[in-house]
Amino acid sequence: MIDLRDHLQELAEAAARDGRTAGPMAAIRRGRQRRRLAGGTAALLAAVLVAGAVGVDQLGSGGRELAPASPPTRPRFPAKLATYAPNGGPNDSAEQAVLRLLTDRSEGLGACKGGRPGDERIIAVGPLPGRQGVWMLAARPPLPTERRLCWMFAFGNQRNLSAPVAHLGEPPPLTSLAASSSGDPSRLIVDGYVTKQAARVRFILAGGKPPLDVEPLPSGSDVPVNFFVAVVPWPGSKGQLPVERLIALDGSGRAITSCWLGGGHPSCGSQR
Amino acid sequence: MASTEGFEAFYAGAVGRLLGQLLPVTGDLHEAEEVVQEAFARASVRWTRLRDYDVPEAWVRRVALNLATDRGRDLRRQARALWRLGPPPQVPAASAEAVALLEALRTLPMRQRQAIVLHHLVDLSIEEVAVTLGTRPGAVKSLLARGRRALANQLGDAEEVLNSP
Repeated sequence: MIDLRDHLQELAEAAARDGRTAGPMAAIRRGRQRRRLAGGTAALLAAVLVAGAVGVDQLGSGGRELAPASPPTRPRFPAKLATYAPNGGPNDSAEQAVLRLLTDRSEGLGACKGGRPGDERIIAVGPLPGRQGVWMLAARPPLPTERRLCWMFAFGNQRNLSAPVAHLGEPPPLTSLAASSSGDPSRLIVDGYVTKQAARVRFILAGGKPPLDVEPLPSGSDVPVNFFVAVVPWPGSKGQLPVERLIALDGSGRAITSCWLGGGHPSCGSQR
Repeated sequence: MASTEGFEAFYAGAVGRLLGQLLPVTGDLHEAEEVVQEAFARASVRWTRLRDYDVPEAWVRRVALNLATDRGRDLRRQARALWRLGPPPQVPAASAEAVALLEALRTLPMRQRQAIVLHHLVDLSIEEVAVTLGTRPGAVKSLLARGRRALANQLGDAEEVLNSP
């Protein structure tokens, strides 16, 4: 027996009871930020993110699997946010926009509880294709007693910014390997962190394809893990994820830890 | 008068209702939270005008519905927008029947979902739904009929759903 009105009402009451929003002040801040950034709406970035971690193999006509390496735009990373400034390049305004998103106190890294207040570090910055902006990885070094980490991956430009992915509140405990994935119609973007013991992160691909290795981006001595970003072709972006598993390898090629990304699990580890 | 004076009270009074109305539209509590919060953010920068409206909540609801449409369209068309792959849709604690209805609603086109929610949950008349969705009353009747029929097929209880007022 289906009573449409009654069950809709029940769902509405459950959503009102269980739903969580950031509150009116966060809405006001977000509104002001949107107005400053674009004078209009913020939308998901209508572009294909193509960011690769340093050392990723090249994508070519020979069917190689990962997107081209996009090394950080400047070699001086990680950089303290307090002293970081775009260096006059064509992506300056995009960097400024993403930086504001990263440090937003209502939804960005600024909303994450942990680490030394105000001590954000830019781990890496890379270009989006087609001059459509930049991607950034940022983190806040944890306090000596903390086993949690505030970090964030974001991308976009002065008009369009990615939905931020940062913890509102206290992040989960650190693990030795963690990753999340994003998709578009053709690619899967994987970003995550790995223990500093790891020299590489091996991507075990679906369909028996040869595995591929990604070299982590160094984060500096104050951050207990390194990070990685990589792109995997995903034609149609339907069904099975193209990456099944990630394995952290040490300098001699021994497995340190691993986690499953595929099989209906778009993230592994516990960072999100 | 401060440009946001009264906004907090308005937010506190309306946010729960709007979450409840957007959940059946988006099919996911997180998504409902996101579009409702974004709609409130847009309302906040127009608050000096909106607060004089008879029902400012209707403006926020319309913006949230439009946002839900935009986001749904991006996914349906597999546009080049990047989206975050998260866990399965989050569903609040509810009866099995209500959860089944939510799952069935997810399979409907966005406009049908919106029409059903506005008419059967928000209690808007056919004409008011038409104004909210920017369409004609006849089109709303069609959306409602097709939506209810689809739900009936999904839920295996055609008569009851089709007979909903």
